[in-house]
Amino acid sequence: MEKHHNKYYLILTLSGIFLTTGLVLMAASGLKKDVSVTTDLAYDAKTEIPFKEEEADIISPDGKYTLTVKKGMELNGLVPQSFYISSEKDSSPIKIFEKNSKPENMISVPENTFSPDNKYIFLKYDEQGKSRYLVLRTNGEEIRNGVPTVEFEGLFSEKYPEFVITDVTGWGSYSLIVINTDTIDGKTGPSWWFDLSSLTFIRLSSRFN
Amino acid sequence: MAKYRKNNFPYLITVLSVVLISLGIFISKRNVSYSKCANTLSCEESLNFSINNDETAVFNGEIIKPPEIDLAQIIDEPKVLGEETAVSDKRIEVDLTTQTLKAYEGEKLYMESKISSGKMFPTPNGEFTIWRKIRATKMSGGTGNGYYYLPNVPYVMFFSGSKLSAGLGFSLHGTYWHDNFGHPMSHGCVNMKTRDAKKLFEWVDPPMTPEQKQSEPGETGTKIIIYGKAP
Repeated sequence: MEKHHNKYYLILTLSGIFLTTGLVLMAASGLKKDVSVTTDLAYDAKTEIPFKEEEADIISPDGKYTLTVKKGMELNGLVPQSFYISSEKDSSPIKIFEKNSKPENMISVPENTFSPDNKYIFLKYDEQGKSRYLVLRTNGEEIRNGVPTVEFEGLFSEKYPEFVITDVTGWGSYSLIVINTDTIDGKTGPSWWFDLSSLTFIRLSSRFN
Repeated sequence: MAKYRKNNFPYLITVLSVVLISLGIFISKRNVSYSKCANTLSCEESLNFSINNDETAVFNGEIIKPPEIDLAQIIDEPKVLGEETAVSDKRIEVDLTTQTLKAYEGEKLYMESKISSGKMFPTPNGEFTIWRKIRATKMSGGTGNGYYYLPNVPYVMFFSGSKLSAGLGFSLHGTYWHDNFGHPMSHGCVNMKTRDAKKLFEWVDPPMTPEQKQSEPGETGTKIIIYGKAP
């Protein structure tokens, strides 16, 4: 009687193992199929519709200024981007910046781009595996005589090579940009102000999360 | 025996005093979660309407020019008392974890925006109501490097609750001195982009009079629910 029981258990266990193996194999083959389809579609999309012309408006926190970003058609592997500012007082936009970039290095507009007094904006782009940050005047003029824009990641890493910028969150005041850093060995580092009036960095005792 | 009792009397008084003081501290901590004013100087001075177009502001060690407020325009601004419906199903939810504000009328989302909650001092969690709306006021506080002086703070909506007295000056308000929304920056208040604060100010109860409106007895301001933990 016991022998019979053991036999049934063995058959039941073996059936279970076969069934499970079968299901796993079926699911795996199904997944493979899905992945290949997605890849094909992605490739087609990239080759047939490269980059559309697009336009986006970003409104300042007080609602008085608008930054308009225009992205043109890709030409010879480069995408043109133009940046315009218009205001409540002067609705005709002025072009403040333009750049042709590879698709992977295109400029993005961070969430808190406008300085609180709307005199500056900062922009972000990737280059050589690093995020770079560019500050511009919203009236189209130079930041300083002979200095049209300031890219401060380069300034920072040159002066403080032991830290890496992990995030730039916004403006702590009219000319102070909030920077978060890590140490070069990956530990959480301090926050800093980038003081636009003196182009210097001020290390802070508390971190801006 | 009588001598023994007499000698122990001062000790008994001391022990009793310690017990009573401890009990008092315990009870006050339980019932009054926040005894610190949101803006240490202006709280004591005034929580009233004020416009100071000639003054400069101080924040994070910078002297800055606040945006001017045209009093003549205020008169034409939003709804006047009586325009609102009597029954309101409005509420504001502030999630400190995501630094996000959502305003609802019933289940319908009216607006959503990024905010900056307390960094130097925490924004209180709990359920509150707006007890006063002011088109603009002055806020100041802090010491040393943390000193700030901010005239013309726009669209101020003071809130209070059973564990947060009105005099502590906590509020939602517009912000002209920083643009770091989505990250804690304030001294306990809820900082909003000025355009978002204006939109909310014109929508919340109590309804507006041109300069300042305080809830009257029997009138209830919009409910505010604050939850989560600031990063």
